Amino acid sequence: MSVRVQAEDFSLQREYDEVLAEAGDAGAVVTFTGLVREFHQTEDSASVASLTLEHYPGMTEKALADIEQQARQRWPLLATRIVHRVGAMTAQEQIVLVAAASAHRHAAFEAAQFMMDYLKSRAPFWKKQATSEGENWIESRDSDEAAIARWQKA
Amino acid sequence: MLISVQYFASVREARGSSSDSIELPDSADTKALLSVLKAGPLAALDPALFERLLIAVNQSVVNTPVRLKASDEVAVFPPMTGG
Repeated sequence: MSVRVQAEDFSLQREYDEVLAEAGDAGAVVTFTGLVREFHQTEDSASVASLTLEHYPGMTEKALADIEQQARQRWPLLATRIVHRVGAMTAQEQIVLVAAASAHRHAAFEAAQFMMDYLKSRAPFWKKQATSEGENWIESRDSDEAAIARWQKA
Repeated sequence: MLISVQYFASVREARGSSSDSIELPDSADTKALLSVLKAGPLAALDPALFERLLIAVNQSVVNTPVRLKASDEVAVFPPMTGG
């Protein structure tokens, strides 16, 4: 299990290979990759020129490790990984990777979704976008809280 | 006691600084700190944003008032938008 916060891009293949090596006899590996979208909370005319991810060093790593730990307590996972980028990015660049390996698919699918749902609004990252119309901080969405509430009910 | 408060994202930008040192009575809690911030350093913050602010003590978000010590690491920031 591991979490990383880094400015550099990551290789999906390399992360996958490392998760697989750590997992041993896995029957299922789910990886999720989040990308920078060109149009996000913008007017029709304003495309995103760049996105900047700010974070709270120290708390970020702690929050991600806590989310990973919660997933591992909830499902029988053989390996997990969270990689989140910070700094400046442009459209279509990779922002985040979450991976979960398990003996069977259900645990891997659910754990990957659980970690993403929590990461969106429980790890201290903030997105600021620059468009042709200027700069603005991305607003949190009620649907992100709803996604977490779903896991708390289950 | 003197509490050091860090700011992030839109709060840091609105404040024009990444931290403040706030004098509080000994044994004051996070609620008291927010009142002092609202009246002083963060007075110009959009009220709608102020209502949604999160406060972390020693790198964990607290949802109910927590008593503070001078050695605590305190941070104030908007709702998180990672992923």
